[in-house]
Amino acid sequence: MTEDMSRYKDMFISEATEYLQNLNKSLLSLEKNPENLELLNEIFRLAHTMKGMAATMGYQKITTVAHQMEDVLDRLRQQELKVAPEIIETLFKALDVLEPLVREIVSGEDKKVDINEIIVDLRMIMEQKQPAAASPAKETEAGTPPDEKKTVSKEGEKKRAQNSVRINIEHLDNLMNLVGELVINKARLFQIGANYKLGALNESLTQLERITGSLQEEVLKTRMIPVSHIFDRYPRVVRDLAKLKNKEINFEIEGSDIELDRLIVDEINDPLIHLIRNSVDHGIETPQERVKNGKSEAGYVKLSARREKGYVRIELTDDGKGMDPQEIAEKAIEKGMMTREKLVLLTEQERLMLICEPGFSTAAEISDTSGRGVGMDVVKTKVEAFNGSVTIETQKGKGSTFIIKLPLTLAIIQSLMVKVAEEVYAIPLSNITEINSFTPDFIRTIEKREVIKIREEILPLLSLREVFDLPSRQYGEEICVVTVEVGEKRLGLVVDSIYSREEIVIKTLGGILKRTKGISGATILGDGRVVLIVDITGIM
Amino acid sequence: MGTKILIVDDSAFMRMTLKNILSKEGYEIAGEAENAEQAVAKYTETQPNLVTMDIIMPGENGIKAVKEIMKVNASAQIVMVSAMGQEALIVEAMQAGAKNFIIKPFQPEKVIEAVRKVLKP
Repeated sequence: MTEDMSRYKDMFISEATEYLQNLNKSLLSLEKNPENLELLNEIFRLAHTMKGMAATMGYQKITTVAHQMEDVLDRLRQQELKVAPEIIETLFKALDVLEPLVREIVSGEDKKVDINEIIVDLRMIMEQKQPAAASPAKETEAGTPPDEKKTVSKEGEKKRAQNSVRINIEHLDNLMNLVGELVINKARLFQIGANYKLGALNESLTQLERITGSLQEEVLKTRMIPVSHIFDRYPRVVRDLAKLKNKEINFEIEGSDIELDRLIVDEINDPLIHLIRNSVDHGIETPQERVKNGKSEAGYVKLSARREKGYVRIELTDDGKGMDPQEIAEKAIEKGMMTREKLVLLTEQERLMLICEPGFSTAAEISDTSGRGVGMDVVKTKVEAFNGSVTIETQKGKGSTFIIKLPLTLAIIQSLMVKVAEEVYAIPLSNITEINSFTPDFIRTIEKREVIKIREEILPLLSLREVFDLPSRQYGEEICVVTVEVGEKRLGLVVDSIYSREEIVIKTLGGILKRTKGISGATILGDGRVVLIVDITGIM
Repeated sequence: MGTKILIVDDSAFMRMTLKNILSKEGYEIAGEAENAEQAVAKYTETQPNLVTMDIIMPGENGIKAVKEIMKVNASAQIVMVSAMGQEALIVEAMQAGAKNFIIKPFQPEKVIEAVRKVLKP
């Protein structure tokens, strides 16, 4: 090829990835409606186009596999072969080979993916002359009702946005950074305007404020992608695992058009897969067990996403065996993670959350499905790293629901500026539940820890001076307490005074500062001061 | 006025590849379409001198589009672009009125050659 094709690579990768996802989705539907000719045509077309693209780029392995798939699919749609479970299985296997091959192009390293086995499997199907020994019940060759046919092709078309451009994520990150700088500089100008009392400046700054606001919103929007990006993969995950475990599961997805920051979407994939695997593997009982307990044979798992003021709420519900907080607590004691004395103080929710503590699930019970990769502790850590939270609702015998709340975006947050020993710190507003001031005589000491009683609830106190090793001081007339919350945990932060409420652009700390305890990042104020952002999750 | 070409292919990747090859050669791109229906509409709208037409696309295929375009303009110049293994369909498309074809994967020279051949009176 004389033309340098490398610059087409990105385009190929993004389109091929999309095609693979659609292939997975369509194959899953075909498995449920093996007679649907329209679906078969769609799958054939996807494999065919993929082959053409790969051949143009000179990707031999992908071309070969896609070509063999296309041959099999062609036979199927010509009705020379019958759609049999073994064939679908083989086609799924072919997709599993194509996926790493595409990823290989992304990473640029040769992962030595072996395609021989799948080629042989596909050829074997081609050699079956007669319709495979399918069950006689499937003899009726009738086509699908016309209305069903329409939905298949229409759906595919609608999904493809007509007026869209593909942009490298790097450009969007740069754009976001620049907008961040703009916001900071705008704030500086405001400061100057205020200091020198320049009326004319303030007027035009108000205009600028509106524009930067809209600009920021637009840029944020460009970073948003629908969660379908990852949700679409899950039916396949559920299907494969259910098959392996001999379970029957109806899996439902809702709200896959909800949008989140691209970075968050990518990062929550692993935790979600882990939760889904948990539900299928540990949550849902075997069909026999279910029938014995008076439940339907097939289990039900539902994944849903929806918007909630400034947050996205993702829920995974199953109607499986559920969990017992008491049993979990007993197990934690057994493992030495918890003493019986401490246990008494824990709420039901806190007992449930023990399963998210590192070391709760041990090697002895890690099955090859749920135990791999991330554990519940990683799920929790990952979600909280994004200022999100995990909660569990469960009822023994009825099922469990895992609720993940995530912020829409990471880059810009509302935050409260507080003063501690002449220094200013930022506390993310999303963590704050209330701000109170008390006279010192309200403070009590329990187990050497200072606490305060708010509305009959005990709130442990923590002085930010203590956290950041600043000189401690005697409490004055009044103490200012900012109540923060992560998940179900609450803590009262003692600060010297409240400074202001501002929209800040998060700058991550790099190098040796990266793992500083109690600090999650920094920001620059209007007057040019650098302010550290308190890592609420970290100090809990 | 340069020579305008309409590119029809369901894969954005293939459209980009064709577009680059053709515009490098000095052809003007009249537009792009990703299915048969759009192809006919874009043809009527832009009146290109030539169309490159994929065959396997979602919905109606490229041959149907060729037939429809021939109804709009009986002397339309259409070059089929199809992946290997679809020879039978190419024959059908030629019978429907397409003037030439290119097999994917193609080399840029082959594309130019096929297009030139059709455009030459």
